[in-house]
Amino acid sequence: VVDESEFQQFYTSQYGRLCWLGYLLTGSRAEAEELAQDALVSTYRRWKSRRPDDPTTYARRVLLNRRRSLARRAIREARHLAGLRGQHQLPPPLTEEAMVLWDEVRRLPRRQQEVLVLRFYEDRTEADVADLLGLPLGTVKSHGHRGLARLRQRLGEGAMPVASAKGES
Amino acid sequence: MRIEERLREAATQVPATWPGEAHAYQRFLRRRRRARRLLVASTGAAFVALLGLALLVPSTLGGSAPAGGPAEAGQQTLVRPRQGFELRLSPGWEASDMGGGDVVLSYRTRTRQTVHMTVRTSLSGDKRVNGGVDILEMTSPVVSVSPGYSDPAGRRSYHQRPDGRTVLKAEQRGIDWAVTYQVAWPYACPAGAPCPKLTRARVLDFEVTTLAIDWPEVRPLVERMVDQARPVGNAAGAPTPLAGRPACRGDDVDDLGGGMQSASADVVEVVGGAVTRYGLPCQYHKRLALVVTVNGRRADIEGNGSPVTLDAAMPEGAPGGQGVAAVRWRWTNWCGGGRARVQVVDLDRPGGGQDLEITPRCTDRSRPSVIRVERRLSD
Repeated sequence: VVDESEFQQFYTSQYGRLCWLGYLLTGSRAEAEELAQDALVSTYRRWKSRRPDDPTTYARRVLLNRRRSLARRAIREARHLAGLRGQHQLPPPLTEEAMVLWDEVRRLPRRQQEVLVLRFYEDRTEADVADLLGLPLGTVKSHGHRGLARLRQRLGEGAMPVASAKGES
Repeated sequence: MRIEERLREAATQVPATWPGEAHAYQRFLRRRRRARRLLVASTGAAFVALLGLALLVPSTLGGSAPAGGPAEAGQQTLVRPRQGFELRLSPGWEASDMGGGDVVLSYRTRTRQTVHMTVRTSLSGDKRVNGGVDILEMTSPVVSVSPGYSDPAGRRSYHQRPDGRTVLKAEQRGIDWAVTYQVAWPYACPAGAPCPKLTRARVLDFEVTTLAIDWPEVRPLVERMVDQARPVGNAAGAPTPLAGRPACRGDDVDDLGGGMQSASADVVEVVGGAVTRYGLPCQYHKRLALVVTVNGRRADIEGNGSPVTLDAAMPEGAPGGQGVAAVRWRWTNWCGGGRARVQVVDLDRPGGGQDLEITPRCTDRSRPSVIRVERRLSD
């Protein structure tokens, strides 16, 4: 039997964080809420049979898996969603600098994006990220390294004037 | 500010709460009730449907309908030579292209839901359908990173198609069911050309998401398409010749992005180039340079900024490249001052440049610092 008040407390503490995690990964408010609710429903169902040892990690794992399987469908349904729930597509409030940065993270290949969001937004170690994504630690490091390298390129940290590079051979 | 610091800063700016959170729990309770109803309904429907199938419908997996039979009236046939498949749609399915080579099929169920299925080629990490390739280890002796590949989540099972190809089925069950099928679909290299292991890892990937209640209706239609897709063009076993090879673009290849292959105190090694992402045939051409700057000026290093041209037929890659077209630079003996920035620059694409922050140790002040192309996989 689930202790409803305990679960509600868990829900209240996690809902916002899960929505933000979903939003940083998808860029859609509607999808973020969908993923968070879905993850919490699954966590509740799991809780009913046996409380997960670490329900916060469990909920995140569900969210990441669901997002993975929904990613392609989400692209297809984007127009449909925009038509139905236009006002919900508006992004929640973030500073401009943060918006630009997270938008760039979102443009990365899925694995690199997941690694960076979990490492920097969730403040998880690489070992934690490897566990959550079910990947070898070396692969997580590789994705992280490549993701950061791409961000540096796109955001211009220390950008080099390319004209000089082209002029010399 | 370093990119890591900017990300940490951006993370602190994400609020602790989410807009509209006050009513979220009520929505959650409604959703929970809906999930329970769907679970009960789908269990009942699945039982009835299974009973019906057992009585009325011969198995679509048993090979009763061999690939290549005559098309039924009104059935649409899709041909995708670059991905090497021809697909006859099951009755009621419609196709639309979503760009990037994906084909999206849709179907309206009896419960008035629209089910979507994506069909594309990908590289699979599952050894039972990818020719036994260890895809994480295989890419290249000089590239330790893995390419983008498909590793479907969920419970896995396998069967053989009538033509002997192995099919992986991965089911993820929740409120919706996400089911992925991967059919072994190896790429056929032209006669006489090197054919690296990676080309064997190509699969034809069908990904369908549906409500659980609709799955008994959708499943036989999907599995019929999975079992009847035919190889054409560049797919192994195809009767037609290899199709053309356009220039690589967009997502055709996975940019190695200036990856650091290895670094000791004395040597910095940097890799540039690309690896196939989906096993699509295309011609890769790139002019790259490793450039080291200090305070925005080109550093005095032998070979600094010298262009390297990569030309390779993908997905085969350069000879010996295991599906990779890549170059490795080896930089030694840096005795200069200031903060050196190391970048792999695409010379034909202004604004490019990966930024790495590492320098080799100064080993001999009397000798110049040198950047050398240590291993070039495409000449």
